[in-house]
Amino acid sequence: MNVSYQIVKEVLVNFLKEETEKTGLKNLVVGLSGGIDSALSAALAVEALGKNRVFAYCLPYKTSSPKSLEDAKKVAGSLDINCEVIDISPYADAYLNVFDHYIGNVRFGNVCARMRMVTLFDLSAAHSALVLGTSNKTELLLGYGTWYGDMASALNPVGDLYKTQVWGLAEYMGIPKEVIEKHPTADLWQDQTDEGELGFSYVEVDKLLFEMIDKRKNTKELIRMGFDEKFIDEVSRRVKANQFKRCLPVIAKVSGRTVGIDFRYSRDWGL
Amino acid sequence: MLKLMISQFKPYLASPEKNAEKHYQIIEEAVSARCNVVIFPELSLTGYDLRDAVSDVGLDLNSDIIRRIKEYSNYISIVFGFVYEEKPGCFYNAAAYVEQGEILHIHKKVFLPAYGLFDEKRYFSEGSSFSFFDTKFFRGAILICEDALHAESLLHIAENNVDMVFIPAGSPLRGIGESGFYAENVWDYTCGYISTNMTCTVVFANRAGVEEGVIFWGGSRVYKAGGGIECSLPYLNEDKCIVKLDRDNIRQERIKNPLVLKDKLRNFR
Repeated sequence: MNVSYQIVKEVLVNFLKEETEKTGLKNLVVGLSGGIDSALSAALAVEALGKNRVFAYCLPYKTSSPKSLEDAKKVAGSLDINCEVIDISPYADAYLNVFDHYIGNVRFGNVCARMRMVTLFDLSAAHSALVLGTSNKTELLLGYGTWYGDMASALNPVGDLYKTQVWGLAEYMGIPKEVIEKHPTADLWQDQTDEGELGFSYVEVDKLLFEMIDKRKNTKELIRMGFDEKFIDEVSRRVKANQFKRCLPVIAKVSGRTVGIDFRYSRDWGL
Repeated sequence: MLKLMISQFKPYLASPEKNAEKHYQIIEEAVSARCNVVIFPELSLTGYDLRDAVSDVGLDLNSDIIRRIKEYSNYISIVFGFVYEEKPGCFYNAAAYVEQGEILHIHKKVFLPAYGLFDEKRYFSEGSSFSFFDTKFFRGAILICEDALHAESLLHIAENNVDMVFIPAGSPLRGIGESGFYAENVWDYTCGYISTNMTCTVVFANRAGVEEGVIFWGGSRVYKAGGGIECSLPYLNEDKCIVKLDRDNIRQERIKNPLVLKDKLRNFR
């Protein structure tokens, strides 16, 4: 789990520069939520391409926490990047008002996340840019993100960093302290916090995930290490149950060669 | 004095023609600099993560690109990586040594990694042997990346008193620790061992660039016989360097430390 943040930063900056420029595009678009993941992704993007080629957008809904917006602007200010605020309420409400009742927190949260995705992908076309991903490894493994919402992007520099390592790298790179220290939240409804929703802390689950996933320890070995069996079961179940979010859509194989099964090429084919 | 250029090359994925043009430019630079040899990394003509594109980029020995490189070898000896279609539909991860207009040797990668992020066994046929070749400058051998990590290839080098081991590589960065990362440590130990205990020069030419999130770390190096590092390229970026190697170094090192087997390998089993 302990890594050299100097090396990680150098590697991720190189990754962003190479994988953006080889497509022929020069810019990156990022949704700044006020949280640490998007702040870190944006900071890496600035190092890779320069501040004039990173376009940040704050995309609040009318009930989003004003503190989130304030923090997002602080991050943009510290990076000296273009940052525009687009209130997603008009078009989110256009959909939500189709129903004569509140659709519940989860559906509402997912609708907002997907409206933000629509916005960022459209703006990336306007800027001849790629959409920068901000989902970290802990979220990706636990499925704590909206499928085709905040999990959708063109390239993601933090997707192989556990939350613990995101904190570490953010500190190394000088992200504003208040952004690092705040309770992580998707801010999809009032008083929502990641750890409240998950039922455990990032510090605890990262320790387990590192041993389970990176070190490939089995349940017996994890129990011997001191992890609680119920916690192991719950986390294992979540990881497995959310594999669908990490895959392409399932296609039924009928031909001799099927996209996603045996039609196999790299995303960088020809680049 | 032998003058060698290492090209820490960044290929376009699955584009042999575009990569060939870059090869020609670098070869011409090496010729202008009066180098004797230039070395490119593993699969330098094609890039690494080919998957189904292997069958699109395979070259046989009559291909225009191979012919052109052979012509250049009248001016400088060249080690380069390519997908070798030896027979129709039979593809190897290969590297060739060309000199004075001829292919002196083609090494077909023997140990094809199929673990973790690697899947070479699915796409390539396995080479079946290691051999050496005598050039106008030295006795050479080529080990492609993973080949150098296995004991069988090293026995062959020791038994035949190989002077110069070329390791064209496509080593991906992984396992970042508190200082350094797994792949660089493995390669430093390996090249250090071969150069010291087999008393030969080791040229580790690793590629640069990124393919779908897999980052190739560069860090190409020349290890002199005895283990001293003669030249070291930076990590990650496409780059090149020229090294002058004293051919007497190997002889002196072997007299000082006669670790290389003098007789045929004895079987102690």
